Amino acid sequence: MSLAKKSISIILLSILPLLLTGQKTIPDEISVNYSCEDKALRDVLFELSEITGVTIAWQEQIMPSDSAVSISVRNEKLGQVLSYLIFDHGLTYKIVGSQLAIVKDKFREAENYISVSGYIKDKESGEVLLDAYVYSFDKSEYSFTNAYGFFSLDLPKDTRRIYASYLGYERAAVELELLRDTLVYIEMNPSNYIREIVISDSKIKSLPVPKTEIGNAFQVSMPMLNRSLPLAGEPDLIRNIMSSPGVSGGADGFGGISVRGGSENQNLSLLDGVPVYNAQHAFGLLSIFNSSIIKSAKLYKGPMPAHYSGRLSSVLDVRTKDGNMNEVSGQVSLGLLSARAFVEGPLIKDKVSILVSARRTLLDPWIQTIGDAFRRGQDQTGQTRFYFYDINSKINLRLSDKSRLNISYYEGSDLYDNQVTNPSRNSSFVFKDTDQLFWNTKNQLASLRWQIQFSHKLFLNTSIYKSKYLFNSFDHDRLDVFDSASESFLSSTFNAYYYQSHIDDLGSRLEFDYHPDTDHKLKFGATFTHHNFQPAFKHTDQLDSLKIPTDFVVMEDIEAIIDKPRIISREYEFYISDEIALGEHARLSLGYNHLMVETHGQWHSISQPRVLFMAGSGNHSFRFSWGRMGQFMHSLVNSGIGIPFEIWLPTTNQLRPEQSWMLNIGHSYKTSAIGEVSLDLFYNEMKSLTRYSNLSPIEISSGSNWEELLPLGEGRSYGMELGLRKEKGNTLYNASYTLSWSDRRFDSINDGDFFRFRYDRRHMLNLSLVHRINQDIDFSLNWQYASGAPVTLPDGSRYFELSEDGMDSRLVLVYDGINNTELPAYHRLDIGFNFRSHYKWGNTQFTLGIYNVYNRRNTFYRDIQIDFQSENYDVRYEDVNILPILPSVNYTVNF
Amino acid sequence: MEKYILSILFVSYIITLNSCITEFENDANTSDVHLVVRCDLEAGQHSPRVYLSSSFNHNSDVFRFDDNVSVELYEDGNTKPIVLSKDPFEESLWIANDSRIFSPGKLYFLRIDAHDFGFPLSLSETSIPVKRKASQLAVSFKGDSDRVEMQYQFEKSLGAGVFFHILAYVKDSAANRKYLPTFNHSENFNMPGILEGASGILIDYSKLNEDKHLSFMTDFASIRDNNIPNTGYLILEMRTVTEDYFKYLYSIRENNENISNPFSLPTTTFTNINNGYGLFSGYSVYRDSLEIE
Repeated sequence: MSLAKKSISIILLSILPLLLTGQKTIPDEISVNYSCEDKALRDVLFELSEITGVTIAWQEQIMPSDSAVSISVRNEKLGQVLSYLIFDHGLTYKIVGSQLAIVKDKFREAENYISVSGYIKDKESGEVLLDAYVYSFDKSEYSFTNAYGFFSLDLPKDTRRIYASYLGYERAAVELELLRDTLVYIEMNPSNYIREIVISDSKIKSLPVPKTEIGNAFQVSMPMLNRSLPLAGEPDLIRNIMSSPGVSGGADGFGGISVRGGSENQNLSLLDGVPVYNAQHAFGLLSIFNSSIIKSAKLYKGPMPAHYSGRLSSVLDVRTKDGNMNEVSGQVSLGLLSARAFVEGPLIKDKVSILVSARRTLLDPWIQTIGDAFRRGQDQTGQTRFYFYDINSKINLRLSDKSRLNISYYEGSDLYDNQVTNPSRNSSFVFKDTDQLFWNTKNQLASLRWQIQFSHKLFLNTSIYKSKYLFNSFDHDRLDVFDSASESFLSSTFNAYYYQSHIDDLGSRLEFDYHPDTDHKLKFGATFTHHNFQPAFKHTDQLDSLKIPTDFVVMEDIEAIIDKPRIISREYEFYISDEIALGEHARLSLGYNHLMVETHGQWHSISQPRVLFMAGSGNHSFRFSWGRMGQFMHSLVNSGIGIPFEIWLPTTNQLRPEQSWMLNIGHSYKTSAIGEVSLDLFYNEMKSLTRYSNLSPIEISSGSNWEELLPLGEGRSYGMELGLRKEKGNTLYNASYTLSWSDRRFDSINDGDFFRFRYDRRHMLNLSLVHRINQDIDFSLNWQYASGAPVTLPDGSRYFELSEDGMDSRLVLVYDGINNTELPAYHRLDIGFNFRSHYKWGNTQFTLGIYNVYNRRNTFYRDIQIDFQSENYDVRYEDVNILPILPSVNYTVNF
Repeated sequence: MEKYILSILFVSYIITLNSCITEFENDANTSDVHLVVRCDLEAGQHSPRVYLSSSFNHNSDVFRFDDNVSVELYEDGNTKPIVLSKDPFEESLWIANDSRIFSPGKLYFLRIDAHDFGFPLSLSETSIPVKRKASQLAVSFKGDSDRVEMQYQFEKSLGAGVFFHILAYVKDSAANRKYLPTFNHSENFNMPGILEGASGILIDYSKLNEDKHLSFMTDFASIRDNNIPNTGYLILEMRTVTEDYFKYLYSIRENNENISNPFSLPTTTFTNINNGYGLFSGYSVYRDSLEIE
């Protein structure tokens, strides 16, 4: 019987007369003569069906069970009779062929729902909170705040309360009287530390089915970031991200990150929505993101929501604080490497706020002094300079309850300049060996953003931005031979490289959030970017005396003779996605992103479908994502491991856009005994990848056809990521393991065979724990392991090239393939303590840490040395290690 | 108490894992050794010359071969080989006196059997390309007259698969060739397929600009005061070479130059010698001369 109730009841009483006549009678226009008193509604419907010969169908569950009807009609149309009978029950009918189907009246149903929209913000600072979870009592209706703290929900009229939760904050509840569409502000109190890291077993059990953001997003916990183990006293976002599954760095974290076997240029970094071309300080040792002012950071790896595009592997979306609307607050922090400070506060309380932050290295005088002392000891001369800095500023204006304006500016720069001259001699000559490396980067970002809530269902963010990136480097090795007899330099040999990458972007973006009903969340928008590229690369040596006029080459000499190309690209992006609720336990996001670029009058476009799916019940959740990614920006990076040189290039007629197809399947399981376990499998295929070819020397200048010389190839990466998170008592345990493969293929390299990519790390393991000793002291421990990075080394054999006259000429090292071997495994252990003190005016935190506790000599790069003095020109390797055991301290004052 | 035990176990686990790690040691000085061969057949010439050597490693020197090595050269369609014997004066040279002229368009095979020294049989094959000529357009001395700029016009419809090697040299007082550094001086600096330097210019014809025009400079400065007569001729040798010849020289030069280029990969050198390294190739040559002071 219950089965019968759930099924659709079809009453077929009398359709034969209509079929027999063959006439097309509209079923609800048939006249009826009928009367009854206190009869059950469904019985009345049976009888009407019988009288008229029209099939009347309905679902049992929508029909009221206790309704009694009295009615008397003569010569009335069936439709009118039906409407009279079912109107009060929120029902209507529709014609299906020759039948009438009784259904819920959606229009009237909608009236029973109220749109609730609003913003969730920090109660103390007034900062809006991103990705906060807002939900009804039974969690049947829920939503997340967008990047501007906005949410929209459709709730039943009888809803009396909604809740909001957010990592690091106490759960908030808001009482509602839903008589009409409503705008609410939910204020949340930051929770104390204990609640940030301790989740009891009972809470794990009570976690709902996954209501986290759909897609492969790794949300960085800001409280944990600021308590993470610092390198040289500097907590860093990207180093923190490196501990998540599927993310690896270069040697000791230098040179950027690789996400799931992609290259470093395939990661898009967004600072408040503005693309950043170089997100690194100190050659990648630290990121440009000042941890003091980060509000939210998410790393998307794998197929991502449709509103993100432009890179193949990942998107790191970093949002900074808007500034405290209520009171002045700030922070001053001093570490071994740098000092940082920020201050924020209202210019007009609750209307206008401002935030300013700055960070700078303090090592300049020490580096010069230590460098001088070192050089004196080695009988060398020279100079060393190094610094980096960054400045963030932001003005936030609340124009109305539904409108905000942000103006922000970022500037950051790195400079390294090292010159060493080393005199030496043999029996015949006196030599002077000079090494010089100049390396300078600068990022400037400015943006104007305006957010407006048009209605309870429609939100718009529009922005205009400028992103400027400058990179110049000059690498010069020189050997001068001095003749004592003539007291002059007889000859010189040198190799000099000049690198330049200048990008000037001007962009605008429209982002709409539209929530038509509870089951659909639409995002759509468009972006236009005007790129101005000025790349350059030139190698010169003593044989180039025809082109270099001076004896001792300096950077300005090359800058003067190289004609730098100026390439204009216009990039257009359109996207739309709909996140659809499939019942209570599943969500599906269907999206499409279309990218177009025009360079030199030539158009290229990439269609990017995206499918994201998430389902869960109880302690299990399942996720699937698939999509295509495209990127118009290429970059050339040095193939060796060491100081990164990167030149960005646009898509041109020869350099086609890079594309990838990505697939991710994952499963998570929560249990009080083990914690939260997650497993992800991924597969990526990439094409139109580029890199510097083996041709030498290639010059990137306006007079050269460098585009034709850069090979296009393909790549693939696949693997498995395993994560474990267990919180028990005052301790949080985290473990992640990645098993992966990544390789590349270019027709002109390695005989056209696949070879291991430089970030191909077979195994990566990260183990960490955070233990709270008492209210104000906590202890952290982190151990990382990664298989050695692939490198190309000679196979052990060498020979002298025989010239056509049989003379031995050049020594040729034999390589049996690209990246044919690997460096030793990378591993290190870090420990740290945080001590906090509380005062009336604020609090302080003293951090004491040791990086690489057991002083593992991880290889930064391996240098090939040929011993020309040995009988058989033996090949030796010299491993360079640069980050030994490093104690660090940091003192932070918050007020 | 439980949490402390768990923490201790955790740390112990890390230490255990650490002790299990085995270090990768790359032994760069041991590997198999192979024959190294060089033989270039010039169209219109006879008397082939084959140079023979070996690769080496930490434990083995370069082999010094004796008469126990069999070196034979076959011409397509002729079953009788040209047998080469060891030159009594030059250690690594095998020579033959044969009247057969090497002809463009013909296939040649080289067979080297050095099994007495533990090497497997080495075989190689080449053809001799037909000579292609380029017209000299202009010659001009630059600056202090140490530099000469030359402009050449290639035929415009040669198609793919044509490669050139341009060499410039003078002869010293003992009639030995002294090669001059030669640089591409066309407007297009990165003309694909071109390498510059002391060993001349290599050109992949199919990748030249549409006008098939080449301008290059050569520099006398490096050979001044080096037994070079003050007057004489600059010889310009324009070889039409095989693709193997092009690839071999190209890869050898990459192998050397890419070591110091941070953007480049270490390069595997090309060879067309089965079970060995080196080159067996042919070329046709066109020579031009320029009187100098």
